[in-house]
Amino acid sequence: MTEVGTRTIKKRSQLVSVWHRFKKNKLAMFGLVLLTIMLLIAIFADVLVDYQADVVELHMSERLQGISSEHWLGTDQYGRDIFSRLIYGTRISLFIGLASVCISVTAGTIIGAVAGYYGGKIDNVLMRIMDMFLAIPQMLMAIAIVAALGSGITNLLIALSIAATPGFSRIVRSSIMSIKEQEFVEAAVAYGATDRHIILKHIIPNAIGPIIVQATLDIATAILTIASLSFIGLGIQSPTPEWGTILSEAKAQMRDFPHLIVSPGIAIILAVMALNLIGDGLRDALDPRMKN
Amino acid sequence: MAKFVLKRVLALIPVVIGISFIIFAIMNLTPGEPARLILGPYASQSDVETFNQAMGIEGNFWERYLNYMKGVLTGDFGISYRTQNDVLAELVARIPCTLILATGAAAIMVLIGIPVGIISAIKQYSILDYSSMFMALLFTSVPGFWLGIMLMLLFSLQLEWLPATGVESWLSYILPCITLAAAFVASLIRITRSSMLEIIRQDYIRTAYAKGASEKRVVMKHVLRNAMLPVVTVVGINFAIMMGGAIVTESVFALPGVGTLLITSVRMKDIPVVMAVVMFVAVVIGIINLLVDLAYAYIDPRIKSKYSARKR
Repeated sequence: MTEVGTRTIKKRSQLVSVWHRFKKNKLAMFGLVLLTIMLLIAIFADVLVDYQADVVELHMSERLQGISSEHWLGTDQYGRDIFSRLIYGTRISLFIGLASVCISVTAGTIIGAVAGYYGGKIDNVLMRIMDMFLAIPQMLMAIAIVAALGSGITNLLIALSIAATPGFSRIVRSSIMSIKEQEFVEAAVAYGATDRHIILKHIIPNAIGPIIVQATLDIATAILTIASLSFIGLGIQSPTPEWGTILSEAKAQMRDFPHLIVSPGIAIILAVMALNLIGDGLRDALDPRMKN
Repeated sequence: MAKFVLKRVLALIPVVIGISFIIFAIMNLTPGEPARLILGPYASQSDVETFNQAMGIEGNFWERYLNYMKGVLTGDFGISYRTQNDVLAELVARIPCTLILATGAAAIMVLIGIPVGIISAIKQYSILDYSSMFMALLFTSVPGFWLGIMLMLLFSLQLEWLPATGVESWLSYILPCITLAAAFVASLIRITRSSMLEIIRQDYIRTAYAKGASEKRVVMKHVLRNAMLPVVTVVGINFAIMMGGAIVTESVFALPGVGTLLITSVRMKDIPVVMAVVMFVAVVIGIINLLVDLAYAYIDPRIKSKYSARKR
């Protein structure tokens, strides 16, 4: 009983100390607050605005209005309220970003863990395949897949996940290979632990740090890619209010209505910056030696 | 050394074959016939058949892939479904634009990224350091295409100093180069700074100071040389990505580069062009990575000795 007690305390203290270090980092905390607000906006988007009336329905009589108390950020060329569209855009970007990273983290961790732990032929075959994918820039890969499959949220999700998986498998593999060589794994082998026990109890907990950091930064990259693809017309199509789609529509009016360009860009910057700050903060908190 | 280079060049071949297969599969096994996309939805069945015959689209997937690769081996990359021109000629015509764009952006990246990173590291925790880190953070988070539009808005539409889109003169490249460079400048500042900071803490740097060497000498002779390895890697990787990934920048500024060629071809399922572009990008990236490795040997004598050891 006492033994179990101390063990939970020890485990907790690890997490608590990471949180303590994270909390001291003001920029990272700012990122966390910002992301929390954006997540709340994403979750409660349909409470905040009426999707039909404000986001997709056309109001030609109110088109291209400036900033007013009724339309905080003005209206686009179809009379739709920009602010409401940006609020719904939060939901789309954060959802696709999170979902695609979840998929690529899972796939990448499985591939990387198998390759890194077993080594030899399996490692060689898996990594050569991943190298082929890595030889093409992520953006180009995503474009090829999404163009071939056709636009739409599901296809975009598939394209982003496939494009990000090889990079993840590389990171997981290299951290697993370095952990495999450590004394505590050797000790576990010596006392007769099974492969399963070693992978789950020793290797994954020690490799999880870089995975979490990379995942956070990758959500940021995914959000930028979603916006870029939608902007060049290969991602999400109007009237779905994705940030890049809103920007690409606003670009047609940029000469006379430049204010339409500014706000979607700032929405993207805030989301990406929040995630980057959290990722950097987590990196420092998880591995204090890395902090300069 | 020559053996090492040859080995690396040969290792590129399976990678390019693998990529060609992946892209060929993606383009062929997904819905949407090239003939339908190019001739339009109302084209008659016989028109589609004539088109397929003229373009050599026949047989099953494997036959088509093998036929295509046979052509590639003899230097024949086929003709574009869309324009009926020779694919290689189309690709070659687009390379200069992308090369100018990537080289210009890389120059901006190196000229700003490395010095700012160095100053940031030497004056750690100063106002200079904080402001450059803030700029780096900001530019990592700014979407390239948005920055491009904002620059266009300011310098082309408001001030009318620079052309907005297309290529008229070298002035047309200024805004695209800045747009493309921004995010990469940010990553280079961060890498240079952290790599410098790591070296500054080493014992041999303290020794150098203890011997009475001036700060300038220590930084230039000892820190910089040792901190350059990761910096060179990032410069190389970034340049490679710029050559293959300037797609969004090119499309914002409507530049006739490899990226815009890819976008139009990928939309029309112009498979021969897509294949040629992707293989070109893969080869360019492979060569740049090789050059980075060779640069290591130049910077770090320890790595050089490894190469020559392999030779023996």
